[in-house]
Amino acid sequence: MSVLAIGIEVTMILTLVGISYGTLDEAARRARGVGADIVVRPPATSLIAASSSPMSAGLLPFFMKQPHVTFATGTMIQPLGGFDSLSGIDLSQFNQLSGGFRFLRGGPFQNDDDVIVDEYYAKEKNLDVGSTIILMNQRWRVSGIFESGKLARICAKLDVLQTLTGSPRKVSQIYLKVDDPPHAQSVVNDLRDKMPGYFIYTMEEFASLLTISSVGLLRNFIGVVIGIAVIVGFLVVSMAMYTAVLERTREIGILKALGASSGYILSLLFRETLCIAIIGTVVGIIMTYGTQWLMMHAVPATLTQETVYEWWPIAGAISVVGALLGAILPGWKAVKQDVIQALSYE
Amino acid sequence: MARRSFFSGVGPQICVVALCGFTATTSRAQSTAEIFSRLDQAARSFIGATAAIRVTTHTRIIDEDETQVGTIAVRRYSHNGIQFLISFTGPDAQAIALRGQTLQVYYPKANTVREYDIGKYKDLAQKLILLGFGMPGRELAESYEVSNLGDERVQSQDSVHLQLTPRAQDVLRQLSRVDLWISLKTNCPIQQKFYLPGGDYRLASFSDVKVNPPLPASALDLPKGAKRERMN
Repeated sequence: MSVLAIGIEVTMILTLVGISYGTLDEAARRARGVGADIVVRPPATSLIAASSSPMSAGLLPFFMKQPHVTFATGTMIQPLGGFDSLSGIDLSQFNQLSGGFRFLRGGPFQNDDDVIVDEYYAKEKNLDVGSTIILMNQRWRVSGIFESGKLARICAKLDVLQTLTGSPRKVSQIYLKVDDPPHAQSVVNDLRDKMPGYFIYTMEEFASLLTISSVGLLRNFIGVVIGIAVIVGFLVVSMAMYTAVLERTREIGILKALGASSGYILSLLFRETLCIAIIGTVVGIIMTYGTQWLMMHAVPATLTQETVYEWWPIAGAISVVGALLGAILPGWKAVKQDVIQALSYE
Repeated sequence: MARRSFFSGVGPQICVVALCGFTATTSRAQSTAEIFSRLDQAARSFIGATAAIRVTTHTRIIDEDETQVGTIAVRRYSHNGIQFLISFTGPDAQAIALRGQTLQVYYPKANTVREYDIGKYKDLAQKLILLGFGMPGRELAESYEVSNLGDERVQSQDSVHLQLTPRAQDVLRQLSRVDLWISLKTNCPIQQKFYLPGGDYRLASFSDVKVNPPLPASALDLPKGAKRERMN
């Protein structure tokens, strides 16, 4: 039971870390899949503007006039709650930028109420070409299912989404293509001078921001999970070893009668704890593959779990520390046991 | 929307009025302390307001103005609690309401209300969007460095022009300064101009302002039949 409990603790850590890494890496992969060299996001004014699409599409011709910029297009992102969002795109412009979606089934939008979804979203929501789906209180028809890895999981026509949200000529972000990728940084620097306050990045820079260390909230979240895991490990091992010491009162008494030192008895308990923690860690790592399989089959579009190997020793160390801390009190009780009482313990 | 500048628009009128000594309020610029005292006094009796609103969003780099028009209703429901409803009409029709800690955005074309729990940002949202509505002078001074730019006549109304620089560094990073014109008649804002670091700005003009009109809580409700979606 102790091994299993520590295993669950390790699984909990590795699963949450894996989801955090996986979700961010997937977002970075989709951002790179757009095929742009530069992304422009609006100044942080959402509280004043109360809008998720606060940039004017009138900026597109301005960007097109900039040196080295060969193409510019805007998209609108409408959050749908949870991890989902609906992206509005001008399909012909987006195809020019990204080389186009690779449709696995169906094809591009035919009507205003058409959406295209990626394979994972289709799998999670059990959608096929011609299926209907309710998003933003509207009934949409799935016209195509595309290979994942480009911009978003669900896309609709940009102008339809702009009309629906009362934001005509507004976009959430603008993608730029330059004539030669090495020019991207100089274009970014130039634009930052011209447009202070706007968030302007090369795509590589933007993708590098999608990491755990850059997302403060996620870092704190992982910290909380580790804290909880240490407490769980501590309590589980503490209770298990306390029970073990009680069960072995007579054995401990015999060892003491035979001249075993306190250090010997403590080392015996700590070695057993260490053994439980290590086996528990291995069990936890194995169980993590189970959660990964579960995520992949139950919620492939919502949560992406990665195997983060560098966290295996960290999770192992956390479980060992928690377990050893939990063994201190029972160990102390074992050491302090009276030999005579221990020998007469039934 | 044509933008009014002080010198090309109402400036000359203010000069004429000032020269004639037409009213006591415009003939002598009030001190900042006097203005704060007026605002403190007005805030004590403020229970609500309604007005027509016109918001112009200016994008400096392309010299583009986009305008939204609509109405605003503000209602104080407790000592510290203020709720509001801003309804824009036309092609960019949408409504924004603040109820407690929940910011609601209504999209009429989708018949959907999106609800955002803005938690700790509630006060900030309230102080920015409702800047000048029932806000005591001391509260202004707490949040901003206030410069008194004197009396001005804006939209045919006598007003005092205040320039506000946010004290909080995190706000300052997003908002370089706010210009606020407070009506000497209603003690409510006639204009709020939010300057963003890059030179873009958002100008909200209020007209037909009614202070403390009969305003039931239901007047600030978003349509009951709309689908509600919790976003966070």
